Amino acid sequence: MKHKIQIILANIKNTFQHETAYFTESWSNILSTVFYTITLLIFINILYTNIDTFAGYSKNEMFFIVFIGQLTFYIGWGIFAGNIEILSDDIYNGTLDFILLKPVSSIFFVSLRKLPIVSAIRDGLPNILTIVILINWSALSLNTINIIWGIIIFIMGQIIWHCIRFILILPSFWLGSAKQFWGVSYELQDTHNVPFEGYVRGLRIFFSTVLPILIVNAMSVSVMLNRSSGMIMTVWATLVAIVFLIIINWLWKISLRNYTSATS
Amino acid sequence: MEPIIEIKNFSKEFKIRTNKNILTGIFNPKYRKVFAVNNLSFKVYEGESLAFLGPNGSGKTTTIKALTGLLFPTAGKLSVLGFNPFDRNPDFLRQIGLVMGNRAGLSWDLNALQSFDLLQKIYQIPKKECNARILELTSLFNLEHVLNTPLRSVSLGERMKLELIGAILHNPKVLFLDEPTIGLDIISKKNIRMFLRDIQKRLKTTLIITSHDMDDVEKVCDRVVVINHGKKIYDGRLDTLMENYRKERVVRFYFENVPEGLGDIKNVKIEEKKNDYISLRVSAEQMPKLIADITSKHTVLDIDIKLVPLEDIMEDLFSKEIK
Repeated sequence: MKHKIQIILANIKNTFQHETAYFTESWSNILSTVFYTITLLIFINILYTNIDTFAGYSKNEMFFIVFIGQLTFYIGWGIFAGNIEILSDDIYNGTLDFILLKPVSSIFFVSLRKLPIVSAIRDGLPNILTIVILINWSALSLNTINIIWGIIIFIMGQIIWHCIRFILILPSFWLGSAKQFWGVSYELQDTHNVPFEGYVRGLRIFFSTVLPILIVNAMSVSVMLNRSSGMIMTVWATLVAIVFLIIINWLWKISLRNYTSATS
Repeated sequence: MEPIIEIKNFSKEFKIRTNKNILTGIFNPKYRKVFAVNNLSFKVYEGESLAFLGPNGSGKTTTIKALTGLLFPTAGKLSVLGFNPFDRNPDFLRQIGLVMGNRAGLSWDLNALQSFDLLQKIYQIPKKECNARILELTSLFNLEHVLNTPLRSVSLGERMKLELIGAILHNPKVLFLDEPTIGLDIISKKNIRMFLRDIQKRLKTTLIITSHDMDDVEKVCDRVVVINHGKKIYDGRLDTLMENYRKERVVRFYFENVPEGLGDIKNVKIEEKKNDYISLRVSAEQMPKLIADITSKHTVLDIDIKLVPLEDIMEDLFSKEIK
């Protein structure tokens, strides 16, 4: 464990060195994320001019969903997802060889080799702060226990999302490149801004088990806002995360057997 | 003595998709099987320096990748340092190194010191020991001036040497080198060859080298395994192989203009013919008579006698039918 933490810290340091080497090139990212957030906030404002609640959520609670949704995006997509995206290139051009030769768990190293924390903060902070200012925090029914349950569910949800993205990139081992499959996961993230209670029961079950994309955001918000049982949902999210970790470990082993290592 | 590497009946088959039709290819995919390596067996002992040779597509790189755990064998048994390579046991991976001449193992955008720092953490090399080793190796290769330069900005020769340092920073017991001197200048090649010979002698590092540059083989290796079409066609000491071919000589005669009919002598093979010289391959016993015959009949400006070069020996081996 100590060795893995040392490697994670070294990866953060290395990614920071890489980020600072190309710092000026990435500033354009902020524009697109700010534009997206502004559009979303305008949409919520328009929506709530005619209604008081949506799926039982007030406008203030919708802002809270967007807040957690933004955290989900900048942690999941901003920090971890890039590793999965470049995995497709690594398989295609054979540079995965150098990862597989390292004396650490390959799935661990592949998942956490680049951790662009500085870029995620730089891109996410303006949006998140804007939403934080818009939320009337005292009007939300938050309590410490539910927040803790919610954070655990959020972490489990991040793990599950990572596994989903991982599964979607694995066809690269057979097809050479599978970025189109991986792109599907980017579209699925739109579910982040819809309340858990907004889905019919069947879809809630489907999106919490077979394709558990609601856990990270919708479920964690529902628990934090005291709409769902914290303990039951936490146990559920943890079990699903464990199952998905087992599945990707198994699929990773199968995939590596089919790795052809693009030759020189 | 126990072998450090043992390959027994190793085969690796790749499936190549033949039905590429957009519809039928999905529902009825068809594949053609190609054997990259077919039933290969050999052993390598600790401290050996082995040249693993063959023409393009003969299965050299596939074998090296299987030995380093990158490729899963279709059949056969591989053992390196007592481990099954494909298990990729961290204890196994800590004891091997791989250098691929045309690939960058170090991060392209970071400088070498930053990449070495990550390797130090991954291989759990004591910091002090690692720094001392970096210092020793960079001064040996005269690379101190590029340590803080991003890898993308250094020359090919410097990058190759840095790659080599990265691959041996953890003192591997077995070092695999796939075309380690490709694209390098003569001095860089010489440095790398001398260095490899040194670690093989001094640290008893086992070296497995594939190269198309026969100077790499002559300067670094003691033993040669030659494969073609995935099958072994020669396995033996390099000096024995050379000795077999030393029964022959290549004699080059220089003239104002090469006379007609020189190639028609019995048991003599023309190696090369230009306007002003002709190279003839002849047995060592027959050589004095050949020289005497030609010099007595024609005005020879100069004579040059050479052993059969290793390139020609390899060419001869590659062209032989696999029995």
